Amino acid sequence: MKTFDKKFTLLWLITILIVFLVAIAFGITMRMEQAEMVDVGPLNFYILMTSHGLLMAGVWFVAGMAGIQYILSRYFEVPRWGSVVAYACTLAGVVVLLISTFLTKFHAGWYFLYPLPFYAKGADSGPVLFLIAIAILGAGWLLWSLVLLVTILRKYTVTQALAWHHITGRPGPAVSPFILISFVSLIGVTACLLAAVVLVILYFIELARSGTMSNDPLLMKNLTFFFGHTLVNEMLYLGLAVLYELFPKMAGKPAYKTSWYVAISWNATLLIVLFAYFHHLYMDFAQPVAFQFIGQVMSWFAPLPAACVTIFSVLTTVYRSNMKWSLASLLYFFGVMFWAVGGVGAILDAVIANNLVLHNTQWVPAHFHTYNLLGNVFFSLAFASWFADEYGSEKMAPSMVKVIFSLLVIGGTGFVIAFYLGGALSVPRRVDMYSETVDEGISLAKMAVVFASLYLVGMIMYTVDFTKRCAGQLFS
Amino acid sequence: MCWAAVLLSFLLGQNPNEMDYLLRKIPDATFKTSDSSAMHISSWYSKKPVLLTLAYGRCPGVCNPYLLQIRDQISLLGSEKQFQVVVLSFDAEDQPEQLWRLAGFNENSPPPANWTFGVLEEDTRASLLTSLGLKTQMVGGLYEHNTVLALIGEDGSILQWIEGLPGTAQWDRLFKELTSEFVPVYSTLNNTVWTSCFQYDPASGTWRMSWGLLMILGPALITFFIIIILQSITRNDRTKNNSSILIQNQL
Repeated sequence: MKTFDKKFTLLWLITILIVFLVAIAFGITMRMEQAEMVDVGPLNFYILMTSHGLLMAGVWFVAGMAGIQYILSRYFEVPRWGSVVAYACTLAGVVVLLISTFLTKFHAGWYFLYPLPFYAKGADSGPVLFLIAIAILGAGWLLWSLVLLVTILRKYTVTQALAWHHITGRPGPAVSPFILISFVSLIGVTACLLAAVVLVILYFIELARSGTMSNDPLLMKNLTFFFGHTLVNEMLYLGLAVLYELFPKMAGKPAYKTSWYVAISWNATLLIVLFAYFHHLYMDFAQPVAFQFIGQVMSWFAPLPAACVTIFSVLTTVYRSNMKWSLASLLYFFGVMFWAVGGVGAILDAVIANNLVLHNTQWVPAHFHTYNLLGNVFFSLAFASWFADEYGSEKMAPSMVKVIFSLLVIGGTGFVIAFYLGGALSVPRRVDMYSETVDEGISLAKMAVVFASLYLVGMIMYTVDFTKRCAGQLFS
Repeated sequence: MCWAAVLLSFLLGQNPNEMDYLLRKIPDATFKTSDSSAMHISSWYSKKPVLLTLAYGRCPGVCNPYLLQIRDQISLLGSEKQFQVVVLSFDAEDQPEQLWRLAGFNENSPPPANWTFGVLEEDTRASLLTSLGLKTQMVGGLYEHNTVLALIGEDGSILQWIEGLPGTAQWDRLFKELTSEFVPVYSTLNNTVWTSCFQYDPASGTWRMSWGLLMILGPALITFFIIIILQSITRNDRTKNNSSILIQNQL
């Protein structure tokens, strides 16, 4: 372990926490607009929605990658330049993104679903800047992903890294679950970032041909969700890979071993997650019906291997353990549980019959905020807490642990419940104000503002505490 | 004369393209009915969907078989109260009764209540014809023209637009719209779309794969090849490290 790896991981974590606070503030402003507590107007609402969505997806993806890079660097020589280039690209990409949204008023949403970028574009330069931001982010992250894949492949063959010998029982090197899950996730990340590359190229071609050529909306939608849906799934798995490495140690138990069923489940996840995005295309009748069924079946199966094995592993680890409940272990344990809750919400929505009712309601932000805000974010915050406990000037005070954990859980739970209730009451998503027929949305938005503010207070306390304990290391 | 409409389309270099007209609003044109009262088209479409078509009474060609086909097809539907058929003449010299006869009605067999015939007033005629894509040209005292059948929604927008004699599939789609059944409308991809992954036929609801599908599969396939290439270029490193491959948990 080199000092550079520690310092650069620290730089990543501090940057991530700061951007996260800004993105939460954007989110709360959106809910305040829906609650009629402020009046930012529809244009600014969609600008905030675009910025909020992309910042959140991006920041927690790089958090997962930073965790993987750090744990890998404890075992292997990981090239530094991958992480450095990714950091530079992330900063540059975020700056260009914010220019495109706040200065040129691009407001097509984080999913920038075709052909919205040509309409919700603000100034003419809006979509160009936005696509440049996506291109910069995508290029940096793709390079980083490839560097980490090469690092693993320097030690293991593809079949070894996929732990196939653990399934067949043939002799081979012991492959930890961390390596297996990281490898599986990085393959998925590479595939979805390549989809983004194709998508951005097609957008640029259409922009360059200025009206003389148009893309197939169905192809663009497929590529958009191949990229977007797969990315948010994989970034969760990146967080889980680190959990598999750190959690048993926290409980004072031996490190997890890759058993045959762990190997099968993650190999299955590699394939299934690439097809699950079809559930975003249920409304697209022009797509073959078989694709819709594949989307439903894959959505059912996607969480089963990874979630069942992980939940089982975490529960058996905690059972009769000498767990010292730090903020890191609490966040890992509850993160897995909330991930399961959000997963059930997602499966309910992915059932075609339910999707006809729930598709454009707040059920959708409800489930993805559950497994992101209370799942994936918790995994990365747990890693950051563990990191600060290991390398910071002091451990977090127990009273601080209780306060921060309570604020995050209570704030986060209340916030997502407001979304779930909105979904159950057919309150639409992605609108800045509610008509009289769904005015329950206004009360629920007020409720969400209160709970999200608690979460924000918890995060501010977390960030201040983390920076106090670790900032010195950065400049030492 | 029947095929003159088709010829006219070719001469004008404009192939039928439904997407140019869909969801565009028509002007609220006025017309005179057989009882000489002036009516606005909106007086019908604000109440229920309107099947709007144009013809002219002295037409020696397409108008008669065209209106007869519309009449025959509509009689098969039977949901007469749910919509209004409005047949308008663009020839100021016409009388509405002439249009009756073109549609096969007469004094002994008058049109049902959901049929309205009228002659367009001069002031709004041109704008309505343009909005519907109806092209006319005076040749030897007679009009050469194409035929257009449009379904107009309650806000005056064009929900369906058919040029020429509608085919079975087009009638089927039109009737579904009239009876509030789901109508799959998929943008008619023109020749400039070279990336389509599926070719969808709205009439039959069937699809066939197109080469754009490769672009969906592309990222996964490229990733597969990248992994194989990376495995190949890291072979030497693996050989060196083969003896010390066991991971030591440092935690």
